[in-house]
Amino acid sequence: MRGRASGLGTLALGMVLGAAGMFAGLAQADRIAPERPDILVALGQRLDVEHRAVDLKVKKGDIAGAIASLESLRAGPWPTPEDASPVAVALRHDAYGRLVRLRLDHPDVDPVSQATLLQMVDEGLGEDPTDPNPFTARLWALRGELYEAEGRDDEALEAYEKALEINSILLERELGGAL
Amino acid sequence: MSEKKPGVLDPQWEDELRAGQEAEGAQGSVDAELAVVHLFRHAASPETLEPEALGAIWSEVAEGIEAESGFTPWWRRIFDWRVGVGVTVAAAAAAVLVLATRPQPDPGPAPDAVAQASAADGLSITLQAQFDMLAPEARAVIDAEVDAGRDAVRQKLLGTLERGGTLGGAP
Repeated sequence: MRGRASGLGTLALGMVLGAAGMFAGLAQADRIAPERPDILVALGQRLDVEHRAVDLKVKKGDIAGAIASLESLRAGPWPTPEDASPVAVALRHDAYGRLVRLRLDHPDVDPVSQATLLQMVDEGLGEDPTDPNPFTARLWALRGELYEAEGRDDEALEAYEKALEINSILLERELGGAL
Repeated sequence: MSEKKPGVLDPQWEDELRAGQEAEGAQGSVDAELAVVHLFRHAASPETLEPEALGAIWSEVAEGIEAESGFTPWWRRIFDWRVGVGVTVAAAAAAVLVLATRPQPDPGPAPDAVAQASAADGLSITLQAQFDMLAPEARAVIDAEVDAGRDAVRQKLLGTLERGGTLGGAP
């Protein structure tokens, strides 16, 4: 009887540890649903509409309008990753990256200083952790580009390296799937 | 039972390719394609890459790409800029992947990200080309996450209705 109870206890412990491991793994893989999926959905839909509007404005040559749309996105509000999963961070990085890229490509439209652009990049990157994604890499690359333009080569190199590191992870995944 | 064929990263694959080409009397060089395979092979295991071997691979790929597009590969500059070998090879592989997967270049005036690299504008152009390659899949993943969130919200609302609750607004 005692042996059977001991066996059941071991089994129960195994199940608890197994479940804990599974949840840890799922959390690591970012597969657990966010606390507030409605926030992620609202954010995703809003950004989808805004990006399409920016696409149209750029196509029509209305760069000022496109920049204004992205500036309104920048004003937020942006949810926390706890509320809306790390995807929200990637979405923010995408919007900020697009804004800074557009401003760099069209310096004569609603001009801002290099310092302001750097501030935008820092604001976009923030402190929030996220999974490796090309939008974060682009923001790091833009930071490198801005530093390079200012002749701050060491800081530029550091930023470029961060971008290349992220892209090398993503590339490995691509190669793993392709070969 | 069929024997498992060697993968593209297996050196035997290249031997079989060359043997097959010879047997069929196929015309034309496959060296440019093989250079890409060599690069992929080393990108998969960069720790085995000696500087001399890296130089040889660069030369192989550079010849192929310069012949195709007329610009000097930028990854030499990355390497000169003290970036690690692994990252450099991955960056080079990314560019090759861009070249390998994009449509044939349009002879018209519209520049694309890769063609702009010929202006030797530096790493920023390189990284922009990588972004152009990687972003579509990342956007698809995000769309799937948002769709999953939409399903979760719908389930939650249906559950509320089934329990006889209200969604607010109606008395």
